[in-house]
Amino acid sequence: MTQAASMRPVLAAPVSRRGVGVSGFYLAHFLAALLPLTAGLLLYGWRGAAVVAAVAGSAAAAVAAWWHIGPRGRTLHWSQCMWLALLLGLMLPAHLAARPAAGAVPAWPLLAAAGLLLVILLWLFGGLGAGRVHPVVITYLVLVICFGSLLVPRRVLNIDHMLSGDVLKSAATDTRTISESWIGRRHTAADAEYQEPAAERLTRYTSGREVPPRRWLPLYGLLRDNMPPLEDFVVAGQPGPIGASSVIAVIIGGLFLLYRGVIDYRIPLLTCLAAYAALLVLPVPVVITDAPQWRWAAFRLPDINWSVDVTFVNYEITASPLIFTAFFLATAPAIRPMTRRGRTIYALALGAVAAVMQLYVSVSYGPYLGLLIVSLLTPMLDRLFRVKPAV
Amino acid sequence: MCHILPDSNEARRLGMVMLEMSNTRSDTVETATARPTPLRRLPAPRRLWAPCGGQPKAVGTGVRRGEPLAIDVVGFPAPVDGTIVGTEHRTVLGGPQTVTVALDAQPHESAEVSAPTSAESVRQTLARLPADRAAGVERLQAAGVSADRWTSPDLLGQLRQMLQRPIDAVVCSALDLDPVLPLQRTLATAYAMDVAAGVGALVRLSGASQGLIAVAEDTPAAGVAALRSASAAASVRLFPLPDEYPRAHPSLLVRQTLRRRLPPDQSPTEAGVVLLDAAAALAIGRCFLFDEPMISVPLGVYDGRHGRAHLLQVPVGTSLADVLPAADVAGGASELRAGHFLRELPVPADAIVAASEVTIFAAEPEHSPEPAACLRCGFCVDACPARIHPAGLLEACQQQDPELADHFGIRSCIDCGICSYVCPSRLPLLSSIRLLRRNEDPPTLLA
Repeated sequence: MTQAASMRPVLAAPVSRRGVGVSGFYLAHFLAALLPLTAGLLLYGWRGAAVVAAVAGSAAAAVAAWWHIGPRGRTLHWSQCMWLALLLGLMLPAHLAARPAAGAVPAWPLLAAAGLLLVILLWLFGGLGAGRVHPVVITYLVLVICFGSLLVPRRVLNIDHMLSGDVLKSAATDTRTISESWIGRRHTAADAEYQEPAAERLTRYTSGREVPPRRWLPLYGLLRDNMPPLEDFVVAGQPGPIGASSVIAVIIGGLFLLYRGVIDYRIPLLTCLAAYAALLVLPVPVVITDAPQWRWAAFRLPDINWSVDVTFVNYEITASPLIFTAFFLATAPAIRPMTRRGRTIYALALGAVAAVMQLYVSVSYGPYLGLLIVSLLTPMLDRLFRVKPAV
Repeated sequence: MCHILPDSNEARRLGMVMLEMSNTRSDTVETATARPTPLRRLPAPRRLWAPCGGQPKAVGTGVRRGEPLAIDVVGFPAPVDGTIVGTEHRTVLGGPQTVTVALDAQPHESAEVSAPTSAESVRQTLARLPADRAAGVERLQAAGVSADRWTSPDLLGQLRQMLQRPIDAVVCSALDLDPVLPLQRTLATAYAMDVAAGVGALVRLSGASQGLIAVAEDTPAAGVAALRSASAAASVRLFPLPDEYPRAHPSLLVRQTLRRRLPPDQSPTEAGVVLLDAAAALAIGRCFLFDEPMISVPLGVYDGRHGRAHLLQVPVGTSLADVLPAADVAGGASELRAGHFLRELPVPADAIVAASEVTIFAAEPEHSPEPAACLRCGFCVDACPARIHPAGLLEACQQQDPELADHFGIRSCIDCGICSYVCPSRLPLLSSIRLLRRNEDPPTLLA
């Protein structure tokens, strides 16, 4: 450390960022992602690690190659590319790291392609600080469009096979008891269990595509009989993307980013609050019969009331990657506005649009779609909310 | 008496000790004994380069200390007895080049001694101030009292404007740019009566309704007590503020003390305020109290290599080349910056001490890392005390777009350098803003 660096002044502004270079900036993100990554590795074992490693490896190889292509190649920054590759790996399901069955299409080339596509997008956008849409979101949505059903996670390791088990060694059908949480329930001898993800069930219901066995399914019936305990989402136990399966791990990782001062608290906080409010009031089917009965602000209905609606919103928030998006994706420097007022509007808009996308398109990738749409508003918000000098 | 202050705590401790001694005396009748000083007084070097605002006297002319050096303008007194040996353009500390008179000092120069000040003498002096405001300003000008630095902008200009426009407040900053170099605080507490007398005199001359001395909240109790009694004698009041960079900037100070907006490119008098720092107030106070010309200035040198603060009293016109060895700072091996380290004001080792910046930071030369592209992290926006958009100003600089610069608030930039300090990409934000202001070519950031 030079003497100059040791002259740390006492500043009127709360500045604790001296010495944080670009690599340090992304290192803080890496450290924050360690907890969601660890939770993912516990839930999905070595296949989870293989997915992340494959995406990161292919991205590294792509950076090494693209670095030499044109003046734009020099705009690629290793730490940024590796961070984005890690993010993409955390958004994918662990079962993609699987040997192909006889006659089936192997999934692993998809991981290599994902890393490559991510770097190409970064290169096209102009690298560090450039581009107004998140390259990870674009890459993920391209994968969803091309391989939609392949990205739906359906397996999670049993608690007694955490970390060491093989997530693909499970029964072929849904065998769990719905009322018991993942931590408390008795598991089969297999390494993992097969579940239909709650996100898929919620999406079918809220988009009106659900076909109930008895041709009648009310909202409270869905929550009471067809959803796993909320604990499975908050702590762990629901199949999901590697990094977004444990809400508590994501929140702690996000709080670390806040603690290090590299993200603005307004974005995750207001995004989640806006999404919560929007999910409370937006029209949802209160009963699915031959024709779903949609109602605005369902909490006002006597047979729904606050408790059912709040429970529904809790499921929507925790079953989707909304919190992961709010902490790790929406705070990306290139896509969020620079001014505080701009960020406030951006976060509120993201929460509202993500809620709409979640309810009517997909719980699994609704927040990503919302982020894609709202990030397009960033240049306008930057122009609209000019700085207001204090002196 | 030890005057080399190994660190800021030591400086404060010594300043406080000195203050306690002067407090004791201030309540007594004036005596002829010299006051102890917390500043180490440097003897005049063999040659000085004293600023001369006009046509200098002929080469070979002998001058007495305090005698004007120019034949066509008042002010600019000779700092020592000596002989004029020529004129030169020299850079003043943290300022531009100026015409100076090279002066060979006579050996065995005796240091000036001023008597300690009592509250009664302050009251009497203020009561005796000339009713003619212009005469008061002329007296200050003739005594060479001036200041033109970040914390005390163009004092003479303010005094002249004070005669033409209504002034309702005089604000004196005893805040330091950095607590590691507590020069203003030491001056304000060790010379509380003189500083308060200076502020009180400006209040009388300007017809202002209030006089404020902004002091650091963590000033030792003894110092605050001395300032309180001094301010009571001069009918000014204390205004405690946190001692944090860059609160001492005039725009921020006026906003915090008076809730008024003062754009950085305007004189404080535009906001109805005369603003100065403790060093300038001390010079004014001494001028009215003892008829002392401003022939020496306080100077703080922070030696980053050893982590030591040196508080000095230096004759006007002394070259840094003479100051630094006396402060045990290796000038050639150190990077010198005037004002505050973050302001990135490099100082040549032969710059002269005058009415400009009174603090120097010396450190090992810092390796400038290659800047990366802007991350858009917003650290600079979040940290900016003026709440402008430094990254946007860099963009405006690269595009040479004055309208964009205006949009991002260039007029409100206070030049503090915090943006460059926090930027993870190590972008030259402060230099770009200065380039924009000078309308020069933008820097090339990326190859």
